Amino acid sequence: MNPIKSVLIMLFLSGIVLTACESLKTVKPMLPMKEYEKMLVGSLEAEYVGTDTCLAACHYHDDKKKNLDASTMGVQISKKTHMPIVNCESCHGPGSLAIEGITREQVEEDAKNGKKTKCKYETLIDIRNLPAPAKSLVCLKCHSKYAEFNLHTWNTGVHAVNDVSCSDCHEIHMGPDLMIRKEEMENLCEKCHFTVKAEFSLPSHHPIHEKKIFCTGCHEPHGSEIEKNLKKMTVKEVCVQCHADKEGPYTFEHAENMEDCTTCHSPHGSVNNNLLKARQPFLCLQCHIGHRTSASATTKGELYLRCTDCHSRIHGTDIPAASGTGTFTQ
Amino acid sequence: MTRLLMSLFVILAAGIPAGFAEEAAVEAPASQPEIQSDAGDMPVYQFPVIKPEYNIYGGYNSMHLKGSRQAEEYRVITDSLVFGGEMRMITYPHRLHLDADIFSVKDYDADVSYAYRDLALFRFRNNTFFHNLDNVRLLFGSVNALDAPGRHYGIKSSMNDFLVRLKAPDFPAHLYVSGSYIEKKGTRQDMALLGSGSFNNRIRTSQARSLDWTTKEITVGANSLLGPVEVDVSHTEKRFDPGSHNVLFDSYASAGAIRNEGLFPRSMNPETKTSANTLRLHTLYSGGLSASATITKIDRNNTDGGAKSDYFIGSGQVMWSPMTKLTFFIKYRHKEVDFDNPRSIGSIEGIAVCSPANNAAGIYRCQIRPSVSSMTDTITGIGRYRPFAGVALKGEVTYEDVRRDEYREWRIPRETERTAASLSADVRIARNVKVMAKYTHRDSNNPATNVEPENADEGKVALSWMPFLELNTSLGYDIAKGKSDDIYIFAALANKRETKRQRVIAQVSYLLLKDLSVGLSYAYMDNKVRQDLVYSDTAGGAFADTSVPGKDVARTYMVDASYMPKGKFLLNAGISHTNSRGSFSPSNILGQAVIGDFSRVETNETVLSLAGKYPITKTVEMGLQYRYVYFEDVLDRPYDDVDDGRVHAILLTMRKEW
Repeated sequence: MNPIKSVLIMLFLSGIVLTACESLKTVKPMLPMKEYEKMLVGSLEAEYVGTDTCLAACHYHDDKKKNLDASTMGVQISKKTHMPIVNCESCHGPGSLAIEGITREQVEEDAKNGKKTKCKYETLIDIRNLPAPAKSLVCLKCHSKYAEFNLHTWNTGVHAVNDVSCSDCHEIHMGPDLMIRKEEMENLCEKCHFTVKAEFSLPSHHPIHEKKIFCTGCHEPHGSEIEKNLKKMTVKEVCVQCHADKEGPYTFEHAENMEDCTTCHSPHGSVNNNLLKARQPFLCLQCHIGHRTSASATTKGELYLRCTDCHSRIHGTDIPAASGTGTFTQ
Repeated sequence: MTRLLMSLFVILAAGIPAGFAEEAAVEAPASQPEIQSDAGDMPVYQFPVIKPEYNIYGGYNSMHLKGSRQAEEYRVITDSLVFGGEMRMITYPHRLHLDADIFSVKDYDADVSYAYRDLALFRFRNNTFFHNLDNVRLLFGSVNALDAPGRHYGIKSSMNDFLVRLKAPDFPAHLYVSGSYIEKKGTRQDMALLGSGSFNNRIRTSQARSLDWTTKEITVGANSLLGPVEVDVSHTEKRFDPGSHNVLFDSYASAGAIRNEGLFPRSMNPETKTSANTLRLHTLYSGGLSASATITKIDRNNTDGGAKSDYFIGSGQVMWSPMTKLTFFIKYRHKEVDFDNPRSIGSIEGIAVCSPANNAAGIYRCQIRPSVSSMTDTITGIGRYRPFAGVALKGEVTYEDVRRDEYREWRIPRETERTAASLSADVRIARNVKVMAKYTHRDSNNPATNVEPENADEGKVALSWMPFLELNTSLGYDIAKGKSDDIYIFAALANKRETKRQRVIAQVSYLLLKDLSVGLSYAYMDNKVRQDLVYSDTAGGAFADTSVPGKDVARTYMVDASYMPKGKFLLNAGISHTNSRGSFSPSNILGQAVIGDFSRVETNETVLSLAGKYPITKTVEMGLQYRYVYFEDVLDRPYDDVDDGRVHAILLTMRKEW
């Protein structure tokens, strides 16, 4: 590496370290997160009453409670208190003010009159209108030291950087397993990524609409180390999960193009066969000198209808051409 | 030196927050009530009784095909019985979930998961489908087609993955094993070039090739909270086995100008082995400063051909929020790729492919170019600023440097430097109106391929508007332009390239009535390139064809409606139409215009779907689906590898719930 570049990188890294250390000295506790944490405390005048007390008078949320109890969060019982570690008030805040004055008799009376008794939900944490980092913090305040490595790069991932929070994708009350079902995944992602939805409608496409593979087959929505939230460390590794026959390495490589399949392919969808970004022979002529274009239409057709009619091992081969070179014909 | 720098950054990135991590450490949720009880009289939480839920369904799927299977590329187009179901049983401390759908023997999926409290988790998923493949026609010149025209090719792909994870009681430490097993079986078209090896003796061949490929991968790992950081280590082994038909042979009865008589191998799918070791560590996610780092070493080995490649990849990310409104993100990535391919080939399947004896003139030698090894460093800095509620501004800068070995052999640059800068804004103009705009500029100094522009600009705008509760609209426009003034590979002959890519997307969804919603969407996509191309001429020189246009254009229209009167029945209807066109138009300097004619294509795809569900009783439901697909080859020429196809599919099911 160029020594000047090495020095510049060292200086840059040192700058980060020094700035961070300075901030350590001057901002204890960590202010920005504390500001968000204040949003999650709930009303200071309310008290925690327990889930059973919250739902004692009315049963509109019984299903939600049942689902939470049946989930991974619900089955964690504290040995000390013998109570669930996570319950409604863990996220929604202390509930005493919300249920103040509500009695079973009142609920029954309202039900007879066709009315649904409302609790004073405005005294609870207004999760829906929190800023994205605070919404995520509702979850991260617990899911931050449980060695959950699917969140390994969450904070610097594309979603977090662009203010997508946990609740934008996860519906915490949808059911006990809390995992997004494969039938729902496509619609969930395409809610925001609607350009991608259109690309999957092109004639050559990966079978996302057919629900044979899913967005999470290639992407890690919680963040990753490389661009586009791809789930592996290189583009090639993502593709060869399923297309291992193209993995190589080969004796005769296609220069360094095989390190990035998107040099030639458009992974979501394409007008052209085999997800190619451009039609043959134009795709290949962008980088290679074409064969002779003699007067004979037959010869032109033979050479130019599809380059891969002859150069069929275009991803790499261990067998030379008859001439001894690596032209991918064998 | 670079590895040292990278390692130092990784250690610092993970260690910086160590000093304050304990202060920012997550406390036990305040919601945990303090239970006051008499000594020795601890209350015991009663887990609620949750009844198991089951449903099963059975039915019949009838499909009728006319023409090309491209109409339903990923379906088995035969009549079949269908059945499936779902079971959910949650009896504390056990949770069991089973879900299976079987449409045919080549199209089914299953999902099984079991958990014991939070201590043990098991999950297995299978997804099996059939991919109908092309059977392209070899036209012009000498052809040796060994397969029947119109023969149907296809591959059944079965993808299985599993996870077993064990957790230490009351402590976040896990041991896990995960893996995948992918099997591909079927036949596909195999193309190759036969003949003596002389340019004037070309024989293209096409034949059916049986496949029986398996890809196996297993990962063993462990992770745990260790004070201020969490650490994960894992080891992965992967094997690709091409099965018993991994190479084909051709027999040459007599010597030609270059190739001697004898048996020669071709179209080999080699067996490969991959090993990887990965270390990941990160700080807590909830502080104002958090960091993560990953180091991985991957070794790949082609056991048939002898080539090897090693990868060393390290990355570190830091998020720092000095104030609520301002956040910085820094990412660094270092990648080393080292290829080692053989300098000579002894034999393939016992046959000496590079021996002079194989050459009639006795001078044949294999010319193996050493593969390109490289080192890449990428650093990205992002700043996000929220001046006031509803507005977020973001700036991003990326610098990447690629250095290559063995570049001269391939006539590519030794070093490529890339820089990119972008600015974006997300603004909530009103409660129900949101706008996003982004501009990106990229520069690439000495790109290694002509398809990478030397400089490029991209702009994106997206608007979402909900004028009232029942109406939701969104509109997006994306344009990217690229330019190269000095295409490297063709040197003095040709040097210009311009690209333009556009996307326009519009969507509307409207709740017409309480139970009736409709949606409309339109998408326009194009990719246009204009580039100088170079061809050989018959005198052995080369000539340029300047500013040759190539383009792909597609338009998609979709309408769907859903009617769901409560407790009665459900009706869904949808229709979509996609028109796609591709072409490239060389000039006719030496008669090459006809080449463009070979590659033109235009298709229409129309899909109509109707589905309904009707509850016969509280627990029994009937379902009926009809799907019609018409795939049209508009130009209807033999060159374009597409043909008309129509499919009608009717699926009738009965479902019972408990």
